[in-house]
Amino acid sequence: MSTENSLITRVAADVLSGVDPEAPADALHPVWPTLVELGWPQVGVPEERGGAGGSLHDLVELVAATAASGVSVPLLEVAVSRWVLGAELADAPLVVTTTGLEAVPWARHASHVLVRPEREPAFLAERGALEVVPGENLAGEPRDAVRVTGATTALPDAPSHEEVLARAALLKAAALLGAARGAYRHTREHVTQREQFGRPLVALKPVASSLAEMRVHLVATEAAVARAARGHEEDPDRALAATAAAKVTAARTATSVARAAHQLHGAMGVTREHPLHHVTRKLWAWRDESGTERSWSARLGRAALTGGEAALWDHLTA
Amino acid sequence: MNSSLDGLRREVRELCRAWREAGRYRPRPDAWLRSFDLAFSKELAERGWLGMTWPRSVGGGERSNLARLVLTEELLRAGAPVAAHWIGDRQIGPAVLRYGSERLQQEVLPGIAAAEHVFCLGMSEPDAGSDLAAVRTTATRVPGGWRIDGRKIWTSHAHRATHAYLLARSEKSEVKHAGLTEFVLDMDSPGVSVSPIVDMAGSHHFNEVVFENVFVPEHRVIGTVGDGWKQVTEQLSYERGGPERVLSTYPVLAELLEVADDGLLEEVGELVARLGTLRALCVRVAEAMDAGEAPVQAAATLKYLGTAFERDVLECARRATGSGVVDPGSALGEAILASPGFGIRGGSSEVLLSILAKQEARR
Ligand SMILES: Cc1cc2nc3c(=O)[nH]c(=O)nc-3n(C[C@H](O)[C@H](O)[C@H](O)COP(=O)(O)OP(=O)(O)OC[C@H]3O[C@@H](n4cnc5c(N)ncnc54)[C@H](O)[C@@H]3O)c2cc1C
Repeated sequence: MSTENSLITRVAADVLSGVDPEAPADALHPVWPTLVELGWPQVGVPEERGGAGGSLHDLVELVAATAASGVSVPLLEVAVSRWVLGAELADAPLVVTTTGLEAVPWARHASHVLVRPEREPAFLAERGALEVVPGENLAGEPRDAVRVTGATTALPDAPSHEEVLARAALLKAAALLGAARGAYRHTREHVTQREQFGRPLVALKPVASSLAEMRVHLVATEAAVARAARGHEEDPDRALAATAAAKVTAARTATSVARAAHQLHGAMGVTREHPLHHVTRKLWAWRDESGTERSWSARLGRAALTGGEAALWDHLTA
Repeated sequence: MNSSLDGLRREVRELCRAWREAGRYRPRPDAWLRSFDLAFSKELAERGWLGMTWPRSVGGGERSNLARLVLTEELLRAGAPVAAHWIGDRQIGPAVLRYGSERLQQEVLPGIAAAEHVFCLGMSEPDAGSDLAAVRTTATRVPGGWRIDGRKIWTSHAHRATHAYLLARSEKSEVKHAGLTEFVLDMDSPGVSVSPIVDMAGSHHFNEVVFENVFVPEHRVIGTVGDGWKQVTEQLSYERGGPERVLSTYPVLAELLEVADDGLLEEVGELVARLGTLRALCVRVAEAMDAGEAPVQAAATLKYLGTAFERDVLECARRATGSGVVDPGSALGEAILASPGFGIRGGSSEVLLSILAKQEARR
């Protein structure tokens, strides 16, 4: 079970502690080369395929810890690429994977974009073969519109669109879990230090209840993400549905945790200077990336209605 | 609605349309806090639409609060740039009218009604947010008036204001609700300094304001020295009871109607139902004001429910976006980044609920 206190999370937190989430505009965050050097994007890919070993759980924890720190880096996107490509293009500076061309993460900084569309075959494009129109998400992260203008390389052995989407969505759920943990930590610290009415805010019952509610969402999301990660490793047939459940849970958590965190921070939390927005803007942005919350819910709903109760129960208890 | 109000409604729509079509403003969510345009406020002033409920003797139009509701809701619907006059017209004017001396009224009100005076609101302090009665800014008696020392925070548009409303401690007292006094002061008085606070979207609307040995003449006291707490709680009902507590995200709702699919029918329907009810509450508050009351409880109710509605509009709108990526510069993006403030400014939702809870316990 992935928890906040696992060894890997503590190691990751050490690497990231003291790192200022604020990054220079139009450049990758300065901590990114360190994460690459430590091999984080290759974690969860077997060594015989050119990966760094470690389990998918380990990768989940690294993605979560990175998100919790508030920094924006293309860890998730590169990790999916490494999973697809193994040792291929190991020396390329930045290979990101996308399932569509409308809002490609980090495209402007990429050396290569790996595209796994829904209907067409997968391909790889060098940056020079792409026209990139800059866009961003609510967290200010690059989400660029991309048009292929040059030659591309076909990737006949790439996993299916659904498999790539499921891997990305699992890691996005992990990132949401991390950002929610970050928001919870900031809030806890704030309400124990800030005094109003002659005592720390946390001494007010509604404040303590809200904090407890945030915690409840974290615990549930940890369980959902761990269940989905297990699905990916042990039973690919179950991976998609368990990922859908994790992504929906994480998205719901994102909404309520961001809301409670800001509510308890008062005006202080809406300022640029306070670090809270580095995690809450990510919660708002990511809850609908790698498949919207609504589309994942609809997928589960459709499966349940089509398969019926017996199939639903088998799926839950598998 | 009676026909004179219908006429007003049409005129407001026409004005907003003309300005929009001439490219003079871009409709935005949360415009009453974020879109500051003195020229637009002056245009409203020329039409007699600022201070429109006040007596003619102080530059007002002697219209009803229902008429003012028609005006304000049409402006909010249009996402018009109304921030320059909002605070003065909504609450400082009415507060001065209720408690201010004849002289103070003559000094302050015609200027607000003409959009010449721009007011900011000096209530909150670093250590006095929800616990407003804990203000530490001091007012000390000096010959001819008062000396102000202290620090206010989150003061919206202090960097553009000509005047400030200020709540200060004029007397040390055992009970923190006693010994508070309200003032009007000039922002260009020596000893006032303003520094910006940038919000998470990168915009600058609020500030920190420091007062060092600032002189305020005696006649700039609002009402009674030491009665500030009672007066300010009444003022808060003007602050909380208007349609801006419901309509900050209306431009997003308007866009949503263009893009929502059938899968969102029930959700949109529920929003419409809530909006209808909230509008009815706005009318009640306006009628209570027309009856000369300061409807503290109804206003707190309106704000509590209204800000939850504003937020839920964004949740529904977000579900209507197919791609899942929201551009921070779009109406929805701007509104989401502004939304954490909705349930905090003007009194946190939890604090409003505790005010209402105290009333219940007293029954
Ligand atoms: C966009 C914006 C504009 C503003 N403009 C102005 C302005 O122009 N002038 C001005 O004077 N102020 C302004 N404010 C400040 C606003 O009035 C305060 O933020 C508000 O009163 C809350 O105070 P605080 O931020 O210090 O939060 P705190 O008092 O620290 O409270 C933080 C949170 O703790 C909880 N809490 C606190 N007390 C209680 C309680 N008794 N019971 C239950 N829960 C509680 C609530 O969740 C609350 O949100 C503005 C604020 C915002 C966000």
